[in-house]
Amino acid sequence: MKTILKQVLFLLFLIPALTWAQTKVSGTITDGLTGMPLGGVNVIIKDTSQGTSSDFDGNYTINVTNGQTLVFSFVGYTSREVVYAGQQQLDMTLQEDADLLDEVVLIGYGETTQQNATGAISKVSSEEFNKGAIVAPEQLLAGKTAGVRITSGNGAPGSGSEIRIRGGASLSGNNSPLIVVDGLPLDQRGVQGVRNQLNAINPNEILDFVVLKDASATAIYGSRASNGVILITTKKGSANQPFKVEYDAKVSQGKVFNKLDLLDANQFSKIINDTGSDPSISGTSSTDWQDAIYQTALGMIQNVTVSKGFKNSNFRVNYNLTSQNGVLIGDHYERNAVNANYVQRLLDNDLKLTLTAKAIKDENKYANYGAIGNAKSFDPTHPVYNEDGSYFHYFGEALSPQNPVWLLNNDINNADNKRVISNFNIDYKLPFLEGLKFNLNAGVDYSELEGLQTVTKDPRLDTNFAYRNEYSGMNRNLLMDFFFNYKKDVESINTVVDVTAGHSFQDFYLESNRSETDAGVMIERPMNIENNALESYFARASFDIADKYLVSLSYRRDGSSRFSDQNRWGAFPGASVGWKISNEDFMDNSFFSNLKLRAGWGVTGQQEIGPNYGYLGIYTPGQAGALVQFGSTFINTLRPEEYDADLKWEETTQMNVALDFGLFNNRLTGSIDLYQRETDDLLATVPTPAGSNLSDLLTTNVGSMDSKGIEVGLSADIIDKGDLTWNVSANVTFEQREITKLSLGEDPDFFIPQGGIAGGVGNTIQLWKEGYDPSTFFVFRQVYDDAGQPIEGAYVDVNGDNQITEADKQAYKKATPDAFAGFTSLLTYKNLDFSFTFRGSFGNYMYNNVDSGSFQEGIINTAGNYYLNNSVNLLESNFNDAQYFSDYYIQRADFVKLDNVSLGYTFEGSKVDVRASITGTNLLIITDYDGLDPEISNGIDNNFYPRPRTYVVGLNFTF
Amino acid sequence: MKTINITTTQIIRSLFLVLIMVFTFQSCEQDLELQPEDARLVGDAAFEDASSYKAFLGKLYGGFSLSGQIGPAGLPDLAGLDEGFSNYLRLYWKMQELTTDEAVVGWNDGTIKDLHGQVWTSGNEFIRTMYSRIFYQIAQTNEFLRQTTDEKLTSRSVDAETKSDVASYRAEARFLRALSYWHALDLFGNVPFVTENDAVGAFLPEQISRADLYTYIENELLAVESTIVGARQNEYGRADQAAVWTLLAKLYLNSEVYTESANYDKVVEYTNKIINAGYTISGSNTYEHLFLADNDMNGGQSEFIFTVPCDGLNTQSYGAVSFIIHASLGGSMDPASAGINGGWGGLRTTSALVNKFPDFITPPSFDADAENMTLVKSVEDNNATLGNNMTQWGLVGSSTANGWDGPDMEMYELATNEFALYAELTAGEFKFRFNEDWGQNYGDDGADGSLESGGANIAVAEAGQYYVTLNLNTFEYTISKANLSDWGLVGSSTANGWDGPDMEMYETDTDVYELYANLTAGDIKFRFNEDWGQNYGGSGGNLVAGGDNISIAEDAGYHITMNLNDNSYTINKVELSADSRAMFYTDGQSLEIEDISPFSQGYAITKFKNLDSMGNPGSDTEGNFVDTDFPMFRLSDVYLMYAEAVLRGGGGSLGDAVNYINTLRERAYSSTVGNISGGDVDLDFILDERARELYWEAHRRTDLIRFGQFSDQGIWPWKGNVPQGKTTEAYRDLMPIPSSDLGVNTNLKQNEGYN
Repeated sequence: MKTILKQVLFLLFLIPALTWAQTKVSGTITDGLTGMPLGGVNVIIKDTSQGTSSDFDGNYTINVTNGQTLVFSFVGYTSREVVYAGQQQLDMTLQEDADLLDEVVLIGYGETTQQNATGAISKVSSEEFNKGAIVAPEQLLAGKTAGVRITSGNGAPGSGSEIRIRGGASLSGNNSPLIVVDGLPLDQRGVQGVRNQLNAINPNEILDFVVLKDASATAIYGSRASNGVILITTKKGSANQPFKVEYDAKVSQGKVFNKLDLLDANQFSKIINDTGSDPSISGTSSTDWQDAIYQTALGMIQNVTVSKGFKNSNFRVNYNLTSQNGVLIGDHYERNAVNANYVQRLLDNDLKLTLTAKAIKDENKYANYGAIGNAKSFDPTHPVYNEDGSYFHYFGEALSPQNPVWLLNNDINNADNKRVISNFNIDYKLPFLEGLKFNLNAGVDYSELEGLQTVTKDPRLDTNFAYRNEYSGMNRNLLMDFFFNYKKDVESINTVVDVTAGHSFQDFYLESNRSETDAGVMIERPMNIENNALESYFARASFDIADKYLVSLSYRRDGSSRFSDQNRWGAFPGASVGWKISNEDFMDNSFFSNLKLRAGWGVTGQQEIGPNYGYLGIYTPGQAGALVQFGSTFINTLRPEEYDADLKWEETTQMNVALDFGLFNNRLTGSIDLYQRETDDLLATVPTPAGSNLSDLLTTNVGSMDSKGIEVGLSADIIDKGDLTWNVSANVTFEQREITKLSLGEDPDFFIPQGGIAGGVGNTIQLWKEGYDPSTFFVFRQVYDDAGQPIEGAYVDVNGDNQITEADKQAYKKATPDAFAGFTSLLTYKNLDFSFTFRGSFGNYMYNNVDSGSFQEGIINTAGNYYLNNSVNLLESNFNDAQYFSDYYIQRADFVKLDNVSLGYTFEGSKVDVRASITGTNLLIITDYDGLDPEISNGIDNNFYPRPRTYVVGLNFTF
Repeated sequence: MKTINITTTQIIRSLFLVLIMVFTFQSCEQDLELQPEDARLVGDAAFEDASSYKAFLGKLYGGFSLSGQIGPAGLPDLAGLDEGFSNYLRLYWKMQELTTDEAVVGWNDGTIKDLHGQVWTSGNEFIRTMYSRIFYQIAQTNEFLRQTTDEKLTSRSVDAETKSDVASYRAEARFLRALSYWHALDLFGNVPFVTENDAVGAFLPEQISRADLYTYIENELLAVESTIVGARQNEYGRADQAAVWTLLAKLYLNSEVYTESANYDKVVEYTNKIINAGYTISGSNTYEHLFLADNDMNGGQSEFIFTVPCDGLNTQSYGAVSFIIHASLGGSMDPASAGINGGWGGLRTTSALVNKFPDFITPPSFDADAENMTLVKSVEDNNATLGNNMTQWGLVGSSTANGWDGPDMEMYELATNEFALYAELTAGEFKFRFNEDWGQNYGDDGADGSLESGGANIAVAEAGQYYVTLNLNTFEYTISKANLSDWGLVGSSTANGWDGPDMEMYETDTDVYELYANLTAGDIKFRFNEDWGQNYGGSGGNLVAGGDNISIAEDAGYHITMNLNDNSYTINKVELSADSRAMFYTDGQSLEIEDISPFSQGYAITKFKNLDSMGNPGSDTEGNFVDTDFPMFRLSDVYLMYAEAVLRGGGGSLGDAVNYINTLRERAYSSTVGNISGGDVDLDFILDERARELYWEAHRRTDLIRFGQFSDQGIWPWKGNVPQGKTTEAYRDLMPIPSSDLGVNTNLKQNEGYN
């Protein structure tokens, strides 16, 4: 059944052909690998404008004259040309094109191909993903693409990561990229009560990531795009596919391989004796408290997937069970997830309905991470257990460290999060105009949290009570967007025009509830409700002129409920151009198989500012424990909140210039991107002029920040000889960020302290200041003696006033790297595959807060009758008192990590294919840094949950 | 079939076209006007309930005691520093005390040690947060005044009663704003100036000069003087006319500092108004009541003019008095002795304060009876030794806590018809009765120890803990001071000499006996049951049966112990002040400070406690948060202000001044021994007496500056950041405007001397 329009078009194509005597030829076009029919293949008679395309079953019919050449072409496949020799039936097989240039890449509200992309866009497909027992999907990407830095939060099971694309554009706003899953932008704040909101997406089910880095690419996402966009596409079934069952299992074992170097019992006792402290407070045991809290963490991941494709529909259903223990005793993460999708095609494939649904139950047992700090500071001369089997405690000492083993076994915090992410998509080729398409997306991300924490009565004190904390919450994110897309090859001007325009509305709603005990009495806290919405209009026009010159223009207009009527709407334009140099005639004999120059410019925004109603004057009632005595009664209070009625968008302008190239028939490909980004009306939480507002700090538009960088990505097929292939890829990123304005005033010395550290309340180690990276440290410059030994309390008197005050602190080094890189190797020989990934970071420094907490008084001079242990650094520094702000503790933290090594073998059977693999992750760290791990995102190393070294055995069965 | 298919297809197509049309044209702008849907309220909606005005006023008062909207922490008011540290009173206390001879802190929090060292800079986060807190309070008050104008009230159609209430609230709000502006004036001098006439926003307030701010505060106070509730007429915890007068008096007293012109006659005028308003100094030996958990009702409050009420359950924060009590406890101090669960080991004092109590260093005498009470275990501990056989026989009477109406104090059955009880009894009378019913009761006719049914009331001469037994087999009873033993002291050093009766000792542990006693130079021995049959002498701490007399070198108070487990004894001179205001903890503490960090250096201070006047801990059974209210203004301060103004030539009567001072000293000494005469009083005396009476009550910095002793004169340990102390630059009489505000508000000029 042909549509009327197609018939008309067919006739249009036919008219010029009628002048010859033509023969009708038919045939079926199939995929050379799978044998499955290919629909939509263009069949064109060379050097004419005649042509057709195959229907969904791969069938085509065309009138052709003997001797004419038929060209079969299809996106992602190598074109084939056949000289027609009079047959009536001409079947054709097409081979998938290894050339990535023709590969389709998603861009916001549409798609393009690698070779036509003009923005800074990277696609990372499943074959390139990191291997291992990966729970958090973003870890698949770590080290794989330039400009993207992924730092896992810590070693906890199921923990999330900090994702930074080009370093993040904001100070107090969100610096995480917008993540769009199958067309549904997730709430940038995440959902409540989960370790990582992306865990809702099973890594096994991810087909590819597309990272939109520069503003010309992201501007179509407007106000949420300043920090880049990551588009995640999950796997779908395909048409006419036989029933397929896949079972995949991974078992992992993780261990802590590096502990803090703490004083052991002997060293500790010596200090107690040498300082003449009361030895009776110490004990006679020798306990390694770190050993007492860490365990070998077992984990497993299982996936069962069934899929089948019919003529007009296909489905894929995956069930995932992930269960991981933490290396910290009692820490546990479990995921039960179903990912299902169904595609239905109607109306001769003109109408495609896609339903994707993910249902996830996340079960978390949260161990009390305080145990890590307590294990550090607990006196090693005391035992975990007394002789009678009870826990050792400092009775009557409210401020003494709690026995960490007791803590792990008595602070029980379990939370379940049930979540559904579902998206319904309609893709409809409109019948009245060829090339015009309508796409509608209705999505929902709904989650419910239920948690309970119980803490046994503190055995150190007689007076306290057991604690119970019941919490629950709901997040709802509703999306409705649609767009029209018109794509036409306007031959008169030799230009392919691709125009998109649409509208989007998204509403975010959350509720959270808590009831907890206070002195044994249950108190219900008031419900918290947050609601915000975003409405948008967007459009894009792309022109591919003569297959050489590319122009793309986009525009988005966003309205956010977070801003007042006057400031609500923001406009976010983007523009980019590309020149496919390799398509120029003069390049015909060049050794460049691909050469493209592209440049882009765009404006993006930021509305993730924290408060939802920041422009409104709100009154917050007080709660229990915050009453005021009037006479003999206690009354509740009412507090007006600070606000900035003029709050508006943060705006980021970004320029990008890049060169894409391919050499030796694209055996070596790469790209170099240069970017510069400037954020204005920077949303920062800054001091308000005293008295002008209703708090001391206010999130408002005060400053600006610049960043720039160079990104280089290279990929080489070093060997490509049938059975043996070896591909290596590498990327390196240089980036620089600098605050250029921070306040309404002009004071060049103005700064805002940042980066709270352990060891004293209100102590900070970093600063925000004009001219510096936002992660810059702010310290005293230590003075050393001739032997290189730091002299306690001796610092450089910067202002020369003969005393050391905080006016002598200086900005020094920073936590973010100057450069970072990734290197991946993938080797296959017949059924054997071997891969590994290195990742490196350079020019980053760390504040070693573990060592800075190590000084003699800190051990013996406590607030009660107990001592506190700390790192062996004290034996080197010989510091008596705290020297928290000495640059002695700012340590170089460059590193190269061997993230994973994986070896796999596939056994091909008649009914079952089995792939077995073994993977090791976090195998090697090359660094000069003394502390536990040189990779801690904020640059402050304190009580860090160690990342385990993990070995994974995997088996995959495909039936 | 084909036709049908096409039709179906067409229907689907049409449907989709309609759908597309719907989505396309429905996309008119959705409502982006979202407002909070939870308990938070916006604009006029917040004031629909008339009680909101009082709640908002409550926030202004809570501005001193709380740190956020959830107690003890949560939804903080200020975000620039840890919430607990950002409490108004905690910061104000630090500014006024840590900078002086009265307090040091050993913590490593930020630049906190710079306060005592007087080396602070404009970047000091504690100074900054104090400044932020003051202006937070002022901004909140301004918002209150904006929201309570007649115009607003009328537009919200509030009733007449609310209107009149709100008028009072406004007067109080203006007082509170004047109070905070006074803190700004006193600490920072030339500060940004905002009133209710400035809107909320991100504008840059203008700076006001110290002298102009003085005038503004004075005018504000004079304006509300007549509209605020009369002295002692408002609810506890709220400001009244006397609070306004006190603040005016303080303003005038420091006028020379603030404006370079004196105003002492006004001080006399306003202190007189307060003195005549009916406040009273509580009775003798009750100084410590002013700083106890029940100081809003134990009698101490009779002199309170303006307080910051705290409550262990309802008004919780890590600041205010909870901070003072926790932070000042450490070392060998028992947290239970302060009614809390543990100390934070931070605050101590310097020898400069201790030395202001000369009789603390060499105590002339001490109250042995009061000290002996500490040897008695708690009633609960003692009763625990009696088993758990509670009966219906009990004590009733005026000596018991519940008086003659009961409920009675139930006794424990030790054996058939034999009962006993340890009880706190006050001076008065009691009887025994069964089942809280007079049907069966016993008294003692003739006070001979034998019981008579319905007999006479049994007298209790003095308050204390008693051990009471009742024997219904023999119809006898006994009443004795709890754990007094038959072991006693005898000898020429004791009041009764070698003939006795002996001074009975308390059994504090098995075969361990203790006693506090005033002894004269001479000899003593220990003997049992006033009989030489069993007696001990000895030397060098070793007891020898029938041994030599033990000599007592000088007249003094002593703490005597004898331990028959190892035949040892101790006799230690007890150093206690006669001035009961000297509340220092010395065990394990050194007087002088070589290193500020260790808690053991410098005497600790036990002035504030979360115990009530009966010795029971406050309402928070976990011992985290205290009930003790902070007396910001009290009559004693006013008395001393009056005396100072008289000496400084403000008129008034020196005789009255001396009387006022002696009123305070009689309470402190429980006698007239500490009284002074007119000749003793000069300005130096006043400054020292203010330290003795008001130390740790956040007056010291202001006082030292007024007396010219804060910076370029006056030395105390660790002033200038050196152990022996040194003078500092005169400009430190003013705190610096925080650099963070100078950075954002270009209208501001830094105070002289600071960068």
